[in-house]
Amino acid sequence: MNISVQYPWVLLLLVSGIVPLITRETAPVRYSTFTVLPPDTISNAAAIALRLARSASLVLLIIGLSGPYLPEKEVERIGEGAQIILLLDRSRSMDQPFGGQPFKNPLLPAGGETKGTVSRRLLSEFVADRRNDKYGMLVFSTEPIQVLPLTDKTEIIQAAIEAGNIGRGLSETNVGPGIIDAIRFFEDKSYTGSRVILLVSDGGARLDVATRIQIADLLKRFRIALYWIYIRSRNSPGIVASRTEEKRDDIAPARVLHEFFETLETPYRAFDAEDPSALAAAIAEVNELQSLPIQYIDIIQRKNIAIWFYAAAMALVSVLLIADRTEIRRW
Amino acid sequence: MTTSPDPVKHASRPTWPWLTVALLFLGIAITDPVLRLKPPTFRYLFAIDITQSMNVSDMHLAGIEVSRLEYAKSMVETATRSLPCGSEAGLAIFAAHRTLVLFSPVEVCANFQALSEMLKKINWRMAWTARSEVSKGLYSAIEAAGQIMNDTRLVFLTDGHEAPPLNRDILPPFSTGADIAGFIVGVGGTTPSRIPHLDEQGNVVGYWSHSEVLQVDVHSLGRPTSGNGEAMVGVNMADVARRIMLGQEHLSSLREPHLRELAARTGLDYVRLDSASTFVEKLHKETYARRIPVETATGWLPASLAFACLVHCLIAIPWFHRIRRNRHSLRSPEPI
Repeated sequence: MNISVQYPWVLLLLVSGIVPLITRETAPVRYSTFTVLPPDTISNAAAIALRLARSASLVLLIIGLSGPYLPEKEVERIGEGAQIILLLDRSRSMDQPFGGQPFKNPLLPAGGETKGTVSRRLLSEFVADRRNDKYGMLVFSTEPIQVLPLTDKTEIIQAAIEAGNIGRGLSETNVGPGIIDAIRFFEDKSYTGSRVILLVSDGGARLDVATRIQIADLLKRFRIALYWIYIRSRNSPGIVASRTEEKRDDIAPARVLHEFFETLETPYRAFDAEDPSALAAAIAEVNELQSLPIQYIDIIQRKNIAIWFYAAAMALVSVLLIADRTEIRRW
Repeated sequence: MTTSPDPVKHASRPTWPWLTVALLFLGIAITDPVLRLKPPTFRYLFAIDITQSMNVSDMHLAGIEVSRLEYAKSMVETATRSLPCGSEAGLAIFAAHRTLVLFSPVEVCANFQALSEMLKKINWRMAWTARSEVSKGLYSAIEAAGQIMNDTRLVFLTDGHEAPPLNRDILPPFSTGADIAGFIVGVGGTTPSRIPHLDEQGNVVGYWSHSEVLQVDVHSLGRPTSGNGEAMVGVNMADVARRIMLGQEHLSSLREPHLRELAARTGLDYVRLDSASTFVEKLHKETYARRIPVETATGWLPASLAFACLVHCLIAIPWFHRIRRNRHSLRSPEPI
């Protein structure tokens, strides 16, 4: 066990612990002569014990005052939890209204929420529900921007999601580099549990062949599952095609992206944010992934242990008090 | 035996009452009492300029030449570490013409690891556009700080290098209603230095040349849609060619007057970043502090009272005894 102290300067006071060991006994007893008294080994031992107790009570109290603590410790554990990279679209198109009204009158308004607001709400709920996972986060527009390292601190993850509400979107939607950068989170890391990339995007992007091949290869190499929470634009046809002739990517680029993802050898699922059960489905899916045990590092919080020392000092002071009251001072 | 008047009478200085009091105080201390105090804590949003002029290596960290960006990042890390627990820090980056908040302020002690890890990851390649409109970036940072949470103070770290340069007559308007306190931090050397081109690995592969950057503001170049030479209304284009030729915009130094002016316009303070201690001192300034209740362990208080009692009865009383006894024995030596 490794004990550290917060205020080492307090330990200078430890010198005072020596004093009871070197001073003479307090109470001289006046008596004509001690030579007639038989040697009392028990009393002598008690005297030494009391000196030690006095010194020790001071020492313990000083150590307690110096703020002793057991430092934060990392422990390797086997348990549940996935490593999830949140990949959030921050392009301009995400500032536009969310979902609704396929092929109806486009001039009729339906709800005022932007796609960005909806996606951040979903992410926030997702993270709140799965707080044992480790999260990393990237936002992307033209270029991916890393926002968080892989962490399990819920507060900072929520703060990063919330920060997306500040200011407008950046520029174009460029999904390719975003996914590649998200995959790179797992580069040089040992496989210690299910890996998921959670893409939240309206998916208005085209991928060239080179990028497609790279994404497919990297996902396979690092064994990463891709989940796409699809944020539908208002009046857009959606990603699941009912009629096959509408494949042209100038009509529905998201659909083409979806079809590419479906050709991946690695697990892929799409969830439509418009469907109220989509989030629950996504969470359930991640739950299922975790039937495999994963290895993770748990951090045992730093623990203040001053009260242990106070308690020990208290015990000794009680002994001193009892000894003081039972001591024979004169006879 | 009959009792005789005893000058070193033991009962005159009993230790047991002190021991009892010490015991009581210790009894309070082991309950680990917590008080809701209001110590000064801080809530900062650190916005760091990641434009290319920040890659100029004219700063020094422990004797080693580092870029302005590295220096700024290291100072922010040191500063965050110095903030008392309960304080909050958020990170933002500035590039092009706006500030992008990475995450809004979070408690510094619990999240320090993630904070410092993210700080290390911040680099110039995150910039989404290669421009550096410091004024607009600062204004959007103020706006962002206003949208986050109450009492968020802004710390904007930049070298003040505007690219493209500003037209003195047509300044970007500052119209934010947010009343944000905080300060601008000037990073960079005073001698103009070349701005490096970096490759993917961050190696210097060249420097921005005179012809690669805009030497004058965009307005002075005339209407972009017309043929060459058509001036915009109210913009003096008379000596543009000469101004371009004499332009020094490919060199970068800390533009302190510009930053001071921006600070005056936005109601922020200005401080130059030259050492960690001045920065930390500025951050700890009372005017930026906010007072919210923080649970504070106060067990040390009864424990130190108990300590005082013990010192009194285990050290002071025996000590005085000895002195008195010595004095006494000088006056009337003990009977044999």
